[in-house]
Amino acid sequence: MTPESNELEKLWNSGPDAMRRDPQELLRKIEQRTRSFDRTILRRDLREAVAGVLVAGIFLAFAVYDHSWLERAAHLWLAACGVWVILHMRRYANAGRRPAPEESLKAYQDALLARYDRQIELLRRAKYWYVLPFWVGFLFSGAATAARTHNGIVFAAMAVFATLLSGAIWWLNEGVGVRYLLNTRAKLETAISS
Amino acid sequence: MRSDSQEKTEAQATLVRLVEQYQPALWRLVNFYEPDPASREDLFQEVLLGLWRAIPRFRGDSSERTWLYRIAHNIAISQLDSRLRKQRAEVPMPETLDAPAIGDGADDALVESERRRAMLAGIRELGAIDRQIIVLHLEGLSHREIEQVSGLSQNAITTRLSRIRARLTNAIQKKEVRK
Repeated sequence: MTPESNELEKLWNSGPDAMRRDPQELLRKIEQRTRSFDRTILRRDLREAVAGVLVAGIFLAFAVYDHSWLERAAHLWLAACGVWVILHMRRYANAGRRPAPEESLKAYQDALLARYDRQIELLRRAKYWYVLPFWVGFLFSGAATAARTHNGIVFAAMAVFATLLSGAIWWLNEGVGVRYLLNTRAKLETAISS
Repeated sequence: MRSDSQEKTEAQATLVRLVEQYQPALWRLVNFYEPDPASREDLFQEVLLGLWRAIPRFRGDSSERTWLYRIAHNIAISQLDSRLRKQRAEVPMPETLDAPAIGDGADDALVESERRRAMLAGIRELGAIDRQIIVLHLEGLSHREIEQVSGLSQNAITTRLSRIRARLTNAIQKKEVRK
């Protein structure tokens, strides 16, 4: 038997329909979902704000009790780094949102892939906007303390600590993070390519 | 100028109307996209949530139907993206079993069910854009409407549909020959 010209349509429509749900009940569920989503966003925003305030607060507190202007400047720099990283990530999160679903299918799929590209670029540049400012700040702080105490070991210890920490963060971003995103992007591209 | 509560009431009325009008089509679409039966209701609600959020932005630049299908397909693709990000293994698409046929016409029903399975399997082997085009076509959208939803030209749609239909017809016939 050969499918007629409208046979495919007939087969498509012959599938089991879902139980028809009450639209009012569905509307209530959607409104609940919207509220839950809004709460999740609020919690995320709060978490980011608290993290920024915490990092900035700790280094500001150090700056208040510091013994020298150099140390104070170093800790102010580190406090500023905390604020900068949170602001940068926030600005990026706004720019990296999913495209509006009213886009055409092709434009939407292109935009989803472009979103991966932006995220990958952000992680690849993490060494500049994230790792480097903190690394410089920690070295500055170590040098300032070493200058005040005339103890070079303090500087050496801080340099080793800052370099190891920065290296780990750099590797997590540019190694693990980028690899994961490239892999997921490739899977998505394969799934949506025609 | 309309107040927020007026706008909300209008949006609620619009969503309820859309659900009443398009529920079977949206469910078919969700059923097709979501491999995991347990997650279908979730995707269905995600689609409705997408519509709910988009209603205030709808300016009538396209028909309501094409607008709705764009959102539904795009949300479904977003869910696929979310699944990939969570590294959830792809669950093979299970066929939705039709109710067992009993009594007169049971054989015909079984044959139709088998043909439907073959068609769905054939659709699932297509690339995403082809899949979306054929689903829109089977839902009764004109080439012009499919153009508005997909962003492809009508010529490209005609060519693709011709190829896809031949492929699906072939898949159904092969299944019948094997039996």
